[in-house]
Amino acid sequence: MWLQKPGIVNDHLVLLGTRENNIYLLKGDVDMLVGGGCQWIVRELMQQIQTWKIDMQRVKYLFVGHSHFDHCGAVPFLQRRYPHLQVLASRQAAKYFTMPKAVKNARIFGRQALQQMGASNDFEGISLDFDTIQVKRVLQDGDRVDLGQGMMAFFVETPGHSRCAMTLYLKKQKWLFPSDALSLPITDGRQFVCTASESFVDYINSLDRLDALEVELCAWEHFGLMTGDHVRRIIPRVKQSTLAYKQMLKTHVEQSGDVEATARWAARQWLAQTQFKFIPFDVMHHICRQMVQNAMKEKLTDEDQ
Amino acid sequence: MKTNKIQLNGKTVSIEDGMTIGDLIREKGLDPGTVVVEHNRIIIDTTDLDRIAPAQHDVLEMLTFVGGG
Repeated sequence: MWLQKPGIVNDHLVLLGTRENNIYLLKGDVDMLVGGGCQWIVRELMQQIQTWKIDMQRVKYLFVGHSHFDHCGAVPFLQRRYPHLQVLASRQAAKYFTMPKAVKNARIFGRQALQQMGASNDFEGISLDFDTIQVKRVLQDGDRVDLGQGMMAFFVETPGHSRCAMTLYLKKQKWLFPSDALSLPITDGRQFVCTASESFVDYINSLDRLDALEVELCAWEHFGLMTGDHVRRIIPRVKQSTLAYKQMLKTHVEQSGDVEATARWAARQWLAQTQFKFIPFDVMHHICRQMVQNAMKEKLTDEDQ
Repeated sequence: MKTNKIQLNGKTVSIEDGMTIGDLIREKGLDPGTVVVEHNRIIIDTTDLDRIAPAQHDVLEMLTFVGGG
């Protein structure tokens, strides 16, 4: 099953936000939001909180899987609206959230996304602008947070998409929340959008670590969650598709002799397939340029040597 | 004509007996260079795609990818 439409999944899990940009609610004795979303989903999010009668006073934690603007953009708003929320993130993410340049960039990207999506810059008088995020608890690899009712969240460092990335795993439930540490499924779920933007080596190493986990449900922060046979094999399948994608980029550069052309081609392909209107082409081009350069220089397999 | 029922990306489909994985990929209009194939849970090297013909009840996964970050 692939659930992309926001809704109540079961007694312990709610899919919030939009199809393109999700946040999850984990429910135990206390609750946790997973994912910080982008500002433009706030209106839908607040509507869902009201419609599904989510008691935000029970929500103690907000886990941010990594510091990219589409995964933390709504956090400053949520902290303004619900000051009791405790933000959890990796040490690297916590550092980014207080760096003036990173905060400035996130603010610019957030405003651009709001404009692109036709959304206003505030919700009920509260600004949606990005600002410094104070992380209440810095997470380290192997840390855990007990939500009660058998909901024990484990955190795994999973760099590769970004240096600051962490994945949340519920061992008893076998639920995985990789944020963007795992390529995104599109079309029939067997097509993947590669997210190894920071380093292919780190990304593959992270996948090798995640491969030790049993997965019955995988909940991305884009395009919802999946259960079933495909998800039980999702880690090795993403790994193989990542290796093949890296090789494809390399071949493209070798044939064209042009890193920039390959980066432009990859960015166009990515945006056409995902239909993400909230990511400007120049941002995607920058991401793809880095990925193409990494595909050329990073060594992973025997063929790369 | 003999056919074999296989599981392809989670769905039951009938294919001609003797049809290779490479034939299946081309029949779907895909470029073998952009497909990762898992045959009965084993990743198949691209050089073997035209040598393996799935048998009755075999399980195939065809995974494709696009770029991005």
